[in-house]
Formats: sequence, C-alpha cells, structure tokens
Amino acid sequence: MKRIIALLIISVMVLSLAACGAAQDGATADSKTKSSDKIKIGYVNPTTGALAGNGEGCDWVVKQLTDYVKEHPITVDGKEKEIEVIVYDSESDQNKCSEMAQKLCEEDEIDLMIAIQTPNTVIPVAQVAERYGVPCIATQSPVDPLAHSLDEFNWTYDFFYALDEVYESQRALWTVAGYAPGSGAKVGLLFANDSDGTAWHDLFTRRLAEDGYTVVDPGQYPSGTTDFTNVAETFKNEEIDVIAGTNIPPDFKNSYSAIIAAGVQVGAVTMGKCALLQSDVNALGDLADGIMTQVWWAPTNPYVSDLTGISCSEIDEKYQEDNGTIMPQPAAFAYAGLELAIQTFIAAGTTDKQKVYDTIGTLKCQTIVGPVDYSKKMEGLPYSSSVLTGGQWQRDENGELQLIIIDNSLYPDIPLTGEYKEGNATTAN
Amino acid sequence: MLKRKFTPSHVKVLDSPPMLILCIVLAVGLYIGCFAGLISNKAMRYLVQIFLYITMGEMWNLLSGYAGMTSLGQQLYIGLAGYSVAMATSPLFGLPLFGALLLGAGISVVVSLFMSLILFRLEGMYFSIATLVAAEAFCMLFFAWKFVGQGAGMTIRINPYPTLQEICILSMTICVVALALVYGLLRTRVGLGLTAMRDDITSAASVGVNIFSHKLLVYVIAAFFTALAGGIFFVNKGMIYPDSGFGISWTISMVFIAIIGGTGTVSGPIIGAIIYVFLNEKLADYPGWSNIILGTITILVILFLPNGIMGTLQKKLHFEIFSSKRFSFKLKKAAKEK
Repeated sequence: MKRIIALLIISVMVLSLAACGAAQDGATADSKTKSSDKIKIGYVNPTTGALAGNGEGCDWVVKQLTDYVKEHPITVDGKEKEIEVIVYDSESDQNKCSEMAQKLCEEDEIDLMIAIQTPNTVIPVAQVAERYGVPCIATQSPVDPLAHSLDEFNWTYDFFYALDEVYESQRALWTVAGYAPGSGAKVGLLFANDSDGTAWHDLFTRRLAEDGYTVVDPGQYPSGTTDFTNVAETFKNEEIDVIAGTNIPPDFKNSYSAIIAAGVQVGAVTMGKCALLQSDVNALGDLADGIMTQVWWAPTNPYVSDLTGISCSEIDEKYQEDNGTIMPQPAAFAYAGLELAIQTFIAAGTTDKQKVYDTIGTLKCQTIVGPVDYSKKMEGLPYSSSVLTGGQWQRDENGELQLIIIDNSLYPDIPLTGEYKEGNATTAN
Repeated sequence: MLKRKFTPSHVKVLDSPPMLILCIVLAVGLYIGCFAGLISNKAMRYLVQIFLYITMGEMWNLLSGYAGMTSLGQQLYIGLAGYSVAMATSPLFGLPLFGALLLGAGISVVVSLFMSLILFRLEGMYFSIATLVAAEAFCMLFFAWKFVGQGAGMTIRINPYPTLQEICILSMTICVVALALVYGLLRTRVGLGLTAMRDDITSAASVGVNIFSHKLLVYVIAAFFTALAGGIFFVNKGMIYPDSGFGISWTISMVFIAIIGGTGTVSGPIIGAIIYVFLNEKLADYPGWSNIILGTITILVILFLPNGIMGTLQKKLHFEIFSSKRFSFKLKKAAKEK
C-alpha cells in the first residue's frame, strides 16, 4: 500500500514535470486566442529594490497609453488592435532582469521589448532581446555602457544621451558656477563601481584632463559602501573645487556626509541619479541644497507628443492630479518609450519582428521628452540623442526644494526657469 | 493486536527495481523529448531552472543536511564558474562552452581545496559566517578587477550561442549525474559515515568516521557541481556582474529548496526545486509581493513541517525514496513472523 502511495507521489512529480510543458503551452494558447487582438509589449521595471525610485509611475504611464490605444486602435496586419503592456518587476536585481526578459520572450511571446531604467536593467534585458530576436526599444540608459556590452546589435535601438553629452552638460554647470575649462579647477570624482559609474568614470577622467581640469580620483567604490573616510581625506588634502559624479541616494548620502564632516568646501557639486527625483532629494534634505544635475526632462520643456498631442505641462498636471507629486523624469521617459513602441507599430502596420525592427530605425517623430532620430551610431548600437539641460536644486520661498533649470547651452530651445545660486551643503557652515 | 509499532529500521525503502526503472524511463523520456524537440521552449525554460536548482539544492543539502556544514557561501563557486565561462568563451580565449564549463568547475575545485584549509578549522555558525565572508571577499575582488569589467560586468559572448535546447540537455545531464552521484555516494561506506555525521557528529567520530576527509570530499563535490550548475545558469542569462555572481540570493534559493523539500533527504531538493521554480515564475505577476510570499511559505513550512515536505511524508508514511539505507524488507518479515 505504502509503495503505491510513494509511487503515486513520484508519478505526480513526473507528471508535474512533464505537464509543465503542456500546461504552459495550453496557457499560452489560451491567452493567445484571447489576446490575438492585442499587440504585446514586454516591459521589465524596477518596481521594488534600490532602483524603485526610477520605476515610479510605470503603472500610471502604461494605463495612459493603453487607454489611448483603446480609443485609437492600431491597424496591424489588416486588423485593428489594442496594446497589452506586460510589466514584470526586476526587484532591481540583474539576474531577475534576465529571467523576466526571457519569460517575456518565451512565455508571453511579446512583439516588442522595452528596456528601460538605468544600465543595470537595460543591458540584461536588451541582451535577452538580442538573443531571442525580439525588437527592443532601449531608453533611459546612457548609450555608452549599453554599446560596450555587445559587439553588435541586431535588434536594439537606444534613445538617451551619450556620456560625452552628459559630460558637456556638467561642464556647462561648472562654467556657470565659475569653473570654466582651462581654469585649472580641481575636480573630485565620486563614482561607484557599477555599469553606470564605470562608464562615466572612464570618460570623465579622459575629458576632464583634455579640458585642463585637474582630476582628483579617489577610486571607485562598490555600491553600498558606508565608510568614505579615505575619499573625504583625499578630497581634503587635494583641496578640490568641484565634486562630480553619479550615485544612487544611499551612496551619495554616505560619501557626501563624510566629505562634509571632513571639512571639505567646494564651489560646485554636480551629481547624477540621486538628484533626479523629488522624493530622493527630499529625503536627502539639506544635503541636496544647491546640488546641480543634468536634467533630461522638465514640465517646462516645450515638447508635444506627436502621438497623443499632450504637452509636457499637461502631462505633468495630469500626473499630479492622479498621484499628488510632480511627474518624475524617468516616468516621462517611460511614456516616451511606449510612445515610440506605438508609433513603430503604426508605421510598420505589422507585427513581423524584422519589419518592426527596421521601422524603429526609420522613426522621426517628437515624443514628450523631445525629438527622436536614430541616425547616430556608437560601436554596433544605433541611437538617438535625448535633450539635456542643467538644473540646480534650490529652496523656494516655502523652503521646498525645487529643480530650477539654470543652463540650456546644449539645447537653447528649452526655457530656463531661474538662475544659478551660489552655495551648497559643504559651504553651509 | 496487529497494530505495528514502527521503528526506523521498519521504514520501507523504495529503491526496488521498478522504482529505479521508473526514474531511468523518466530521464530517458525527457532526453528524447529534448532531442526530438517534443518539449516546447516554454517548458524547457522551466526545466532548465528546475534541473539547475535541483543540482544546487542537492549539493547544499549534501553539505548542510548530511555533513553538517551549513555553508552560506556556495555562491562563491557560482560566481567563479560564471566568470570562468564568460572569460574562457570570450573572443580572446575562444574556448568551447563545454571546455569553459569544466574549466570553471576545475577552478572551483582548486579554490574549494584551498578554502577548506581555512574553513575547516571552524565549525557551526563560525563556519557559516566564514563561508559568507569568503564569497564576499571574492565579490570585492571581481569588483576591483579591470579585466572582467569591474562593476560593469561581462557579457557572455559564446559564438554561436547555445540554443535553449542545448542548455536544457546540458543542465539535465548535470542534474542526473549529480543525483546519481549523491545517491551512489550515500549508499557506500562514505554514505554511511555521512548519515552517521548527520545524526550525531560526535558519535560518528567516536565510532571511527573520519570527519575531516568526509567533510572535504563533500565540500569539493558540492563546489564542483554547484560551479557546473552556476556556469550554465549564466550561459542562460547571458550576463554576469560581481553582485549577481557572488550574491547571497543564490544561497537563499538553495536553503529555501532544501528546507521546503526536506534537508537530509535525497528526494527533498527535487520537490523543493520544482516548487521554488514554479513559485518564482508565478509570483512574477505580483511585483513587490513575491519575496513576502516566499518568506511566509518558508516560515509556515518550518513551523508545521519542520522536516520539509519529503521529510514529513517519509515520517508519516514510513517510506523513503532514494534512500541511503540498503534494507527494506524488515517490515514484511516482522509481519510474517507475527
């Protein structure tokens, strides 16, 4: 009797193993018939984990655009279709990014992939899309780290800035603060040892030297480091004038606090990532005062979406109405990514993967974050540059931190919203 | 009157020929299915994960469940293997995938022999913490190593890239070999020693079990197979970063698999891995909740099924699958005598 029970259990194991294939097939076949009227777009979002701030607003954006297509169906393969955006959480973990991207390609049989939110998410997702031959719109990842990650790209287009452009945008901010190229100013670097940090670090050390700045490089550190005494000591001994870098909020908070505690005083601080979101900056509090950063999108930008006809200020108002906060910059790029996906299917008129991919390259349209034109190429990666301005976090009359656009030298069409103010947390006391 | 009182020696061991034949038929069936393309890619994606997690879970179970070495640092060998594969298959070295995998496993064996010199001086919690620290130290090393791209990681550039079918066959082979080895090992004299160590390490030592050599053997075998499984995992993912290779989440998965399935049983990690993979996949639809649900399940299992699913079933139903015991007819004999 017991033998029978045990054999039964084993049989269940066997069947579950064998059936998983059939079950999956069945499930997909089901959903296929149900959603054959829908174009499937895969989207891996860091909803939880260290990058959760970047993933904010994803659901809202997805709803806006799926609702839009519901009202304005796309004609694909002679049929009117809606879109279905399948979003999985990456938990800000690179292993999970690959797993979820594979799930999208194999199980959900998506027609197009959106790889978005920092190189940590974009590179593994784009890599899977390349392997599975799924057209991929990458955005919100600087071009350089993505371009370096593979020898050739046959399915991916990137839409964001190249690091040369971000360097130029930070240089414009140092110039505004009185540290122009050739001034011999000492620039202290703060870069973590991750995809983003490494790419920025290599480019900044080269270009800073070319522009006549003195580079003070205390070395990269693993993200999550808490002891920055040696960095602070190096900056103090070298008497630096400017701090430049890109860091997630915890790394910036730890390093900047150590630097301030060591008594380092600098005239300008330019920082990526941690100075991006209102929520992060509010959490940094006084530390964020006076920090300058490159700005990819602001509600005051003059762009109007070709697809939905919505302007930057209108979309921000709508977002504020629904969510109570200003629209985060990454959410605007999420909107632009989906806009591009929809524009692609409208232009392609098919879900044939090769045709869809070819169509992405021919897109020339305006999105909520600016115009798109994939005519540039870095190594094997075709890309389109996104706009960049320089901003500074300043306190308004109510004592609230606001991101003010103080430099538009790279894209003069974008209006300024204020002027540079001297001072930051290092000079506060 | 005929109410039987079971003692451990009365446990039924289901290793009779039909059982083994069933396992062989299953394995051969899956092989044929994979080779002939009868199994869809979607199913293969699940199978790859299940096979690799069974291998890893089985190895962790061998370490912790049998030899009493609760390692929190097995990710050390996963990371080493992943990076070995990424480097060896890069255009610079151009090794074929199979060679690269074996190289990764070989490096892991060498490192595990070296680590054993340090780690085996420690026991219990101290051993666990030391393994974790060792893995972290290697993680930092790879973070600082320019050749492997530092924190920016490495893309695995095998040319031509293995198909999912090839990856699936490879992982199944490793899983079958690992299971056969563990099963075979436990039925040898070494296995008896390990089972004795599992039950009481001091008593085992006092009756002549060579604790050090048993531990070393198990540690090296675990490093070898964990590395092979890890290497294939990264081939399947396509990218490796220091924190994805040497991350503690690998050990968390192995512990989950062994605990859910039942530590100290060969069949436990098989059930554990199947449950883990399905949970992981299905919970992807509930972003933000997946880890909470996984954690809750682990706590519930520990509270209500402290021996894991297979451990509890074996206790309640008095049978063992893939047992290290070599007797199973005592019960019948005892009944007949009565």
